[in-house]
Amino acid sequence: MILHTLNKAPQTPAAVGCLNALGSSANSQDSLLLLEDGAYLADKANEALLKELSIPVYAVEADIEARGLANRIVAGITLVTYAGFVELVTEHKMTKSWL
Amino acid sequence: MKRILLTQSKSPYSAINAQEGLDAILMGSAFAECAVLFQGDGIYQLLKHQNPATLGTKNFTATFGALADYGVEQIYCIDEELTERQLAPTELVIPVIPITRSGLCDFIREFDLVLDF
Repeated sequence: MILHTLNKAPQTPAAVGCLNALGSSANSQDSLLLLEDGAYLADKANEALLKELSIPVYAVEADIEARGLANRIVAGITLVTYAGFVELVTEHKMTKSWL
Repeated sequence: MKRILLTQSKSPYSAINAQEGLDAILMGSAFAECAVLFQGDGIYQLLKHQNPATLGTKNFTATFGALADYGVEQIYCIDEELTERQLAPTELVIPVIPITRSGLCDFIREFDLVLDF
């Protein structure tokens, strides 16, 4: 029911706060969308961080491509277009941006 | 009446977010029931004894003391984040209601809308 969006890199306070909160309090209706520098969380180097989450994880394809991460992303992450991004927003009751 | 949660996540002088968020709280309180969650380094906005005059900046955080006059009385923080920063409630300019980190998503679900700053 909550779409969480993260646009900051994995070691930033925004990302740490997001992962802490989602790891302990998200439920199966919540989703995480990675965009801009949040795309780096999808990198295989951060697989352990993502494994803590039990919710669907999406990433904006343009941001993954732009950063050269296409061949490095963790299995199970769904890539979305900008239209898909909007669709995710409409499918969830609310959006929480981790800034 | 719509219930809006505004979140303040940035330390007070790092970015414009904190001031913009405060403006949004004051405006929002005119037409909705507003609650505020100070999370992450946003909790530093409420620390007493701020004196940004040396930075050439106005101490906008003094306005938080007036939130009750705007009908904004639900002010929350995350308990673990106070502990991590060694902040005691007495060091903050207004009383805050602690929620737990593990209860955060359920807490957010109680609102109609969340606006993040």
